[in-house]
This record gives sequence, C-alpha cells and structure tokens, in this order.
Amino acid sequence: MINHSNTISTSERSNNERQYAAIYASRRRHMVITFSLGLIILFYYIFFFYFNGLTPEQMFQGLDKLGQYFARMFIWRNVSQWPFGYYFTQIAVTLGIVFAGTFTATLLALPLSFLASRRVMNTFILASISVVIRRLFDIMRGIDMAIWGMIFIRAVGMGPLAGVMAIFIQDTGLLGKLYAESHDAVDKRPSRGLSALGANHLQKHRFGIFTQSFPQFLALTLYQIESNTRSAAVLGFVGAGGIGLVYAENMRLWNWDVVMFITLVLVLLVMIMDKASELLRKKYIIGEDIPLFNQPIQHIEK
Amino acid sequence: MPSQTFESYYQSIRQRQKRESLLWSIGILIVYFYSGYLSEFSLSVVWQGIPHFFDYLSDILPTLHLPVLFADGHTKGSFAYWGYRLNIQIPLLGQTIAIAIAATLFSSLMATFASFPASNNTQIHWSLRYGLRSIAAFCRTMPELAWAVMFVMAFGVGPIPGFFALFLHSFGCQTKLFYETVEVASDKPVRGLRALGASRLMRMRYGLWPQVAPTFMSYTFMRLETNFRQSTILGLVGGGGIGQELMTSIKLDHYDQVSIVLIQIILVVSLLDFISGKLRHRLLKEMSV
Repeated sequence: MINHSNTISTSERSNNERQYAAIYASRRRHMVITFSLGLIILFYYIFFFYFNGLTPEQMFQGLDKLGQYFARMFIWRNVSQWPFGYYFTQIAVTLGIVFAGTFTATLLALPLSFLASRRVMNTFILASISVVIRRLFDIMRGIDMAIWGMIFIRAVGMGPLAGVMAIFIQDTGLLGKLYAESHDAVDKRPSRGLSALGANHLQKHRFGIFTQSFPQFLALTLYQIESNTRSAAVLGFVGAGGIGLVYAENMRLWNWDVVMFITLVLVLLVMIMDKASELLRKKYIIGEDIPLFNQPIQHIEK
Repeated sequence: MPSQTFESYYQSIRQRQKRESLLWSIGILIVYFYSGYLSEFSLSVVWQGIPHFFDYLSDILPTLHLPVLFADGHTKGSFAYWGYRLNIQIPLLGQTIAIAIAATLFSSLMATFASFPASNNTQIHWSLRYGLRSIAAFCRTMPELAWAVMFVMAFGVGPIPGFFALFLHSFGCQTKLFYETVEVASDKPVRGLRALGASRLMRMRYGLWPQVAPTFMSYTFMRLETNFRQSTILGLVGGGGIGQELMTSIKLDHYDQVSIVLIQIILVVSLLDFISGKLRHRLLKEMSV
C-alpha cells in the first residue's frame, strides 16, 4: 500500500541517488556489512555441524526419542502416587540455598565493592588494591556455579551447604563487580559537598555514594535472587543439594511427567518472585514522595 | 502558616523510615535464618569447612620447582609436566567456545523473531503472545543441565546435544529480555508508519527494529559470556567441551589438572568479558552519534 500512490520512476530514482549520494553510499555499505556478516555466520554453522555433526540415522533416532520424551511430558500418569512432599521439600531446600547464598554474598560483596570501586580507591596504592580485588571478583564469577559446587563438595561434603557456598562465591564475584560499577556511576557533587562540610571519608562514602547507588544495589540483589532461583537447579546435578537431584533421578527413570511438573512449579515460583520484586522496586527504587516541610506534596515528574 | 515545628516534622519522617528499616531487617533476618536452617548452612560447619577449602586450593596448586621449570614433560615440577594434557584440553576448550558461540548466535536470532509477536505493542493476537511467552518461560526455567541430559539421552554424547541444550535455555532468556526491550520502545514511529498505511510487518521492521537493534546486539554480547560459562558444565553430563575433563580431574583427584583447566576457563571468560565490553562500548558510542 505504501508504494501505490508514489511509485518512483527510474529517472527520479537516479536523480535521488545523485542528490543524496552520502545516504545511498552508507546504505550500500550497511548492506555489504550485513550480507558478509550473514555469510560468515552461515559458514561458521556449516563448519560447526560438519565437524561435530550427527549421522542422519542418529539424527532421526534422536528426534524420534525426543518426540517420545515430549509426549511423555504431557501425559501424567499415577499422579496420586507421586511423592509431593519430597518434591516440595527439595524445592524449599533450593530456595533456602538461594536465599542463604545470595544474602551472604550481598553481605560480603557490599564492603568489598567499595574496595573495588575506582571512585573510592583514588590514590595509587589504594587503586592497586582495587585492581587486585577486581581480579579476584573475575576469578570468582568466571567459574560456573556447578563447578564451584563440585569443589565445595570436596571441602564440606555432599549436601545443600556446598550449594550455598557455591552460590556465595559466584555471587560475591558477580555482585561485587556490579555494585562497584554502580558506585562508580554516581554523581560526584554530593561527595564534594560533604567534604566541604568536613565529612570524613567513611561518611562521604556512606552518604555521598551509597545513598545514590542504593537503588542499583537493591535492584541487582533482587534480580540476582530471581536469576539464582532459576540456575540453582544445576547444583543438584553435581550433588550440591536441591531440586536438581529430583530432575536427575526422574530423567534417568524416564519420568518426564515429573520433570514437566517440577519445571511448571518453578515457573510459577519465579513468576511470583518476579511480581514481588516488581512491588519492591516500585516502592523503594522509584520511591514515594515525602512531603517537604510545611508544603503540600509535590509530585516529582519521573 | 506553620502547623508544626521543623523538629516534629523531621521526627515523624525519621520515625517512619526507622520503623520500615526495622521491619525489613527483622523480615530479612527471619528469611535468612530459616533458609540457613533449610540448607544446613551453619557458621560452625562453614568454619570447619573453610580449612578444607583452603587445603583443597593449596592441593590443586601445581608443584613447580624453579631449577627444572622449563624442562621436558617427564620431569616433575616443570611447566611441561603440569600441562601434559594441554594437547587434549585446548581442543576441548575450543569446542566449548564453539558451542557457546553457535548457541548464542542461533538463540539470539530465534529470540529476535519470537520477541516481536511476544511483546504487547505489536498488535499480534494475544494467544500467540502468551503461547510464545510460556514457551520461553519453560525453556529458561528448565535448567540447562536438564536439557543437556535430555538431548544426550536422545542423540548420544557429543557437542551437538550440548549445543541444543544451551540454545533452548538461552533462547528462553533472550526472548524475555528482547520482548521487554520491544515493549519499552517508543510507539511514535509506529504510529507514523501506520498513518502512512504501512503493514504490521513493515511497522515492526521500520518502526521498532531500528530502535531495539543496538540493545539486542548488546544483550547478545553479554549472553556470549554467560553461555561460555554455562557451556563449561555441559560436559558433566556428556554435552561436549571442557566440562568432562574438569569433572574427571576433580573426581579422580588429578589436582594439578584441576588448576590448569580452571586457569584456562578463567582466561577465556576474562577475554570474552573484555571483548564484549569493548564491543558494547563501541555500540553505545555509535548510538549516541
């Protein structure tokens, strides 16, 4: 429809091309870049499947089996005999692991993030300390939770505690880095004002930086709790406690209906947590207006 | 006309803030202790476990002797002795990276197509919208190791099942991020195109896509790093890559091999982090021009 009334004739088009040469050139360049990128990606996939690929019969067999698994997911048998108590206890244990791990990580990551912040550590010696701490964060978050879980199983034995420690270590790295970035992004002026008033360093960091980065801090922590609830299931696969164990057991036993059920429960749980964190975000990150002294409430445009 | 003194005004605000922070602290403490109880997290066990952890860390450190540092692979205490399996480990690491890249690109592509119908401002029928959203939620909530177990059971051990597992999991995550991006895009260009008689597809392509494309790219770079980290564990269940090697080394107590694999993983993660940070920075710069 868009072209009906104003179809461009060839002469008009060449005229346009002359007049807006720069635009047409950049469009052509864009097309060339997009096309060659697409070609590179296509070749990458061809190589990937060529070197790692499956034989056709493997492929068909596999697809056949996958079809069976998915079919079994939707046909629930013997529901009345499922050990629901066990499933829900394991889900509760997973939530326990997530909360204990993330809260402990928050407690450690907050002070460490100040030590890692470029804004706070502004002399040469302090800056080198902050570099060391940031590298430490990189190591902590560079290794996946499940691998930390396996390492901690060696240290504290099988069970949920290893999972807590795994989440704790990984989140200290991740949250520490993100908190430090949010400390670095704050407005400088309140700190300067505070130092003009004679505040010491600690007061400057508490009231000049943390007041501003607190919404970020809260948002990141809430998001991390939610995201960990989703990823903590892998911990059970390596023996670090929680719902992953139920997954592993039931997959081996071909109970795909149980797998489906647990995933649906987790979806519901994550949705509830999502709603809860949205409420908290609304209340504490967007915030509510506090009436000024002896003035009617002024609604600030957000 | 002042109806209250400043002092009483200040006190009333302060009191409310104090009450709220007290309530929150108590609430969080209760949740914390209860979850500590559920997960058997107690300071005494941690206190007893910490020495073991550091013991383990010192165990996995390689024994390097200065005089023979550059000797051949048969001398104990040389770099070559420490890295005697590197010729096996580095191709596995490459495989892990290949899986991560393949899964990231494909999931981003699919999520791009899925995100427009899944967002609420593209005038697509609600049943398709909620269908896509539920599929995405299911894909991302099922842990990637569960997907991996499923595909390994179907296709056998190898990198392809790992690729499918990682693809499905990150498809779920990416779709959610993408449709949230589309939903906050400005609808002014869309309304303008609609007034000109553009079709629904044209409105998405020319009205919404230019607004969201840079954000999609930035999410894709971020996802690449996450996917690499996650693809290192696919090997635990036979999904290909370095994970198998790492798990065997941990379980069989090949201490020095654990440390060398971990070092390789950390190096690649840092490298990917650095590259994706640079690319995202450039993207933002181009955006602002």
